[in-house]
Amino acid sequence: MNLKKLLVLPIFLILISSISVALAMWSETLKINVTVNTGEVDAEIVRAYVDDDIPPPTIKPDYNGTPNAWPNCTDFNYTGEGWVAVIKGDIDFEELDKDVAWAEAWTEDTDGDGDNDTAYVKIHNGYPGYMVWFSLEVDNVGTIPIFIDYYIVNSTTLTKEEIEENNLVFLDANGDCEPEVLIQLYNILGEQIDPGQGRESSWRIVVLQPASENSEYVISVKLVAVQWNESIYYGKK
Amino acid sequence: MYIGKSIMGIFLALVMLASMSIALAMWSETLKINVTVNTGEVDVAWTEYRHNDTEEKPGLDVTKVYVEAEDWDEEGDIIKLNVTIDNAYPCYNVSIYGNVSNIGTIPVKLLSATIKYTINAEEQSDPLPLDTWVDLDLDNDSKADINVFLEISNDADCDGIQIDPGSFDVYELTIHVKQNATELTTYFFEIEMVFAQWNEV
Repeated sequence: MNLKKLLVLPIFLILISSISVALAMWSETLKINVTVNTGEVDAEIVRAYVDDDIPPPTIKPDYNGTPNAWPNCTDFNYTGEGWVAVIKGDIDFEELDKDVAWAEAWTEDTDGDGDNDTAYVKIHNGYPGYMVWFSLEVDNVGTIPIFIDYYIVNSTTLTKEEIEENNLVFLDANGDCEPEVLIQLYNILGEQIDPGQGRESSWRIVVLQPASENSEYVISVKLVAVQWNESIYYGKK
Repeated sequence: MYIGKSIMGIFLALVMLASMSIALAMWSETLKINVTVNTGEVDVAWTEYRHNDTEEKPGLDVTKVYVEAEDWDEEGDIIKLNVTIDNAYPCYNVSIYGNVSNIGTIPVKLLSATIKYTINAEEQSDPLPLDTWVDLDLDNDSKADINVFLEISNDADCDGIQIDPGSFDVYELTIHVKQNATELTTYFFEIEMVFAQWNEV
């Protein structure tokens, strides 16, 4: 019994002394506080307009457009929003002698973030051959530089290279290889847009011969804006 | 008879006293050692700091980085830096450089580095080992928003994590914004680096 007591005492003392050594280590602490405030990628369609926005009669006659290329059935792909063919070509146009059709364009804020993100074009009393110029201005209203990386036309994604190669987009609503509407895209892809700056692009829209009377054809074109350093065009000249 | 015994007793007592006097008279000299221990001081401070945001611009300067002193000890030495990164975006990264100077008298070594942040009002703490990317999920969505990397970018004495008195090491903290960071959000965390006397690290 006495021997056990004698053993416990030195063990206790050793423990106490080792704790004292640990507590006695001198040290000094340095700190860094880090606050990271992220910015915002935000683009807005600040203006959308057409050149024929006044209902007739006006002194401004309509324009007739005719594509100089026509797609084959094999050119069309089903996208979920109709059939789309993108081919190379151009549009020949001429001024007509009457003002029959007209168009209007407007923008909406569909996601409620305070910026107009969607532009609409509506052609009234259109007819085969009728052509209208549609223009839109896109501004970088965020804090980070952006590129417009893609156009998505009725679910078909188009890059700058594709548009430079082929910029006639034919839309076939019923899959009979006879497109009803044509849109000719002009390029604002691949150009850096800094905060506060904008780009403008004008496109042509033509009602084609297979279009039916008293029908409505919907074209949706989306512009995909990407922070500049992760754009597919970043670093390319 | 009794007088004779008394005289003998007195005589013997005198002899004993005389012998004791001889013993007390032995020559001697005393040597002493006075010991004074003056302890040194473990003391480090941020002495210089900067960032490389303006050095590595990818074509456009949209992000601003500020590094400034935030806290000082009683001696007026900087012990805390404040880094603010404004208008960051996924993929953005910046390095913060801080000179850790040994302004004490004892060599020190980095004992530990820790990242501290708050999730749902609870303090979190993760170790930050050197030369290792550490992911931080600061908004608690199970996806990392930021990651950080701590290294010694300039080992002045080529002695690793040791810093001798009067010397310094440059520590580099790289902050990288990951893809899952969200727009218009503030992320906050704190780095705590403990330097201790070199012989006990």
